[in-house]
Amino acid sequence: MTSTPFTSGDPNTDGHPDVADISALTEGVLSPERSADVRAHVAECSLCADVENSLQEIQGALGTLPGPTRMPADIAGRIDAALAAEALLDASSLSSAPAQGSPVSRETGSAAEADAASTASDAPEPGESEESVQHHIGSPSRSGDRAPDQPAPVSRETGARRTAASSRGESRTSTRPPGRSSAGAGPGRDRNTQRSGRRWRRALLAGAGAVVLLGIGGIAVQSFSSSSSSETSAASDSSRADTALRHHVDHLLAKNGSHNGDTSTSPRLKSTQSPSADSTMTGGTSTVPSCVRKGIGRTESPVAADSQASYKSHRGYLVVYPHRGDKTHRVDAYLVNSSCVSGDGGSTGKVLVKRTYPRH
Amino acid sequence: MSEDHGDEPRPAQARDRHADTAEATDAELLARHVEGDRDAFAEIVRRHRDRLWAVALRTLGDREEAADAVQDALVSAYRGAHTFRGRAAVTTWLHRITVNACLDRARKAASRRSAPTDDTEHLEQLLEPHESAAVPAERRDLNRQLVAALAQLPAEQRAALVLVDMQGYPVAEAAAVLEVAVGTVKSRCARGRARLLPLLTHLRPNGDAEDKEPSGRGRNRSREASVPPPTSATDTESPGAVQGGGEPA
Repeated sequence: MTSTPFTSGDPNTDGHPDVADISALTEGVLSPERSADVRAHVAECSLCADVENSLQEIQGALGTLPGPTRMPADIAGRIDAALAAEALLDASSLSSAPAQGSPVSRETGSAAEADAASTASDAPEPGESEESVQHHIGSPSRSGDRAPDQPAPVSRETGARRTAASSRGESRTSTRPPGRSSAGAGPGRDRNTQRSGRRWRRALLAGAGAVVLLGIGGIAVQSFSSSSSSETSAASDSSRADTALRHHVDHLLAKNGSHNGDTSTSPRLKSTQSPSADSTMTGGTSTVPSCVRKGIGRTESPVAADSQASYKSHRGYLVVYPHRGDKTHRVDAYLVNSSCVSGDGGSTGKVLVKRTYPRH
Repeated sequence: MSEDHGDEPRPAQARDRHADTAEATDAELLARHVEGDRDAFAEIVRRHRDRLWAVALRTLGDREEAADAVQDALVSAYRGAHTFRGRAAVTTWLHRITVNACLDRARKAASRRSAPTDDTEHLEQLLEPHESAAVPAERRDLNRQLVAALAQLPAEQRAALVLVDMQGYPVAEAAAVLEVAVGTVKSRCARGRARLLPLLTHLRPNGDAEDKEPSGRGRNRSREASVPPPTSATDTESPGAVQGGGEPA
C-alpha cells in the first residue's frame, strides 16, 4: 500500500492496484490523488470491481458469523468469584486506606499485610517462595518491593490468585514445564493452575462471610491455607468432575506407556489400539470414530482414547491429543458426545468438555 | 457522578440487584464503587460482560485465554476504577481494558508458539452455538475458513475487524477502544479484509463450488495472475498517505 502509482512495488500487477489499495479505497483511507487513481481504475476494470465486491462480501460474512452472545455461566461465575475476592481483600484491609485515596495501593497493602500476618516467613519458605516467584514473574514489583503506587496494568495478576498461590501447598511446580515462562500464559495462568485457582476462589467465596467477621486478613489467609475442608466443602461438582477426568486421562496415558511424554507416542497408540489410525478425519478404520474426530476437528493422531468416559452427567468418548505448542508436557483431553457414533455417518460429535492437563 | 444516596457499604453477600442500582448509569455505578458500594461493580459487570466476552473470544480465538483476559480486565477495572476520568463512556473504558488484555495475550501467545497459531482447533467452539444444520454447507465452510484466517491476522488487525465488522461497533467507538485514530482503525480493517479476500476466491457461496483448487482459481478469471496477493502490500503502511496512525502491522 503506497501512495505511488499503480505499478509500484509489484511487477505482476499489470497496472491493477493492490487488493489492499482497493480495500483502502473503500474505507476512504487512501491519499486523495491515489484514491482518484484507484477509483478511476476500478470504474473501468471489471476484475478490480470484482475484488471490491468480494471485499464487501468479506465484510458482510464477518458480520454474520455465528458467535457468542452470552458469557458462559461458568466463566461469569469465575469472574464474579475473582471480583468477590477483590472485595474481600478490600474488606480485610480494615479500611486502613480511605476508599477515595488509592484503591491500588490499598489492595497491595492488604495483600502485603495478609502475607506478613499469616506467615511472617512467607517469602523465604522454599515451597512458598517458589510459587511466589512463579506467580510474580509478570509483576516483579509485587513480589519484592511492593511498590505502593503501582498503577494496575491490565495483565497484572489478581490479588486473589496471588494469595491463592501462596496459600495452596500443592506442588504445581511440576505442572509447568521447565523453561516455560509463566509470562507465556500470563502470570500463573497454567490451565491447571487456573482450575485450582478457581476452586480456591470458590472456597474463598464460600468463606467470605466468615472472613469478614474475622476481619483480619492474616488470619483469614492462614485459615484458608491450612484448611483442606474449605476446599472439599466448597468444591463444586465441576472441580470434582475435573479431577476425575484428569485421573482418567492419566490412567489412559499410563496404559499407553506415554509416561516419558515424548512426542512419539502416537505411533505407539497406533500399534496398541489402532493399527491403521491415520492422520485424517476421514480415516474410517481409526479406533476413534470419525464423527468424534470430526467434532474435535484435529487431524493428528490421538495419544489415547476411551469410548467410555464421563464428566459430570455426560458420558462420551474421551480422546487425548498432545497439546499444541507443548507436545511434550501437556495434553489436550476432549470429551465428545458419542451419540453420533450410532447415528448417521454424517453427524459430528459435540465436544462436551475440553481440558488441558500436564503429562506426567 | 455525584452520589448522595449515602449508601452504607453493603455486605458482600448482598448481591441482589437493588432498584437504584439497576437504574443507575454506568458512571454513577462506577463512582459508587469507588466510594465503597459493594454491589455497584457487579452491576456494571452484569451489564457488559456478554459484549466483552464476545470481543475477547473472537479476538483471542480461545475460550480459556478469553476468559483469563476478561477476568484480568475486570479485576483491573475494579482496582483502577478511581482512574476512570469520564472522558469516555464506561463501556468504552471496559472494552479498552479488555482489548488491551487480549492483545497482550495474543502477542505472548504468538511469541511462544512455534506454529503461528493453534486456533483452528477451536473453530467449532467459536462458531457455537448458533450455527445450525440449516446453514448451507458452503457457508459453513466459509465460516470455518474465516475464523481460521482471522486467527492468522496480526492481532491489531483482528481486533479492529472484531470490533467493527463482527461486533458492529462504530469506527469512532472502535478507535476510542483501541486508542488509535479513526483512520488507523479503517486502515487496519481494510488491510485485514484484503488478507481475508483470497478465501472468497474459492469459497464464495455463489462461486464455482466444484473448483476448489488451493491456488484460488475458483473465479472465472485467473485473478491471482493479475492481482498480487494481498500480503505483498498489507505489511507496509506508507507514512505519507492519509492512513491515520501508521503504526506497523
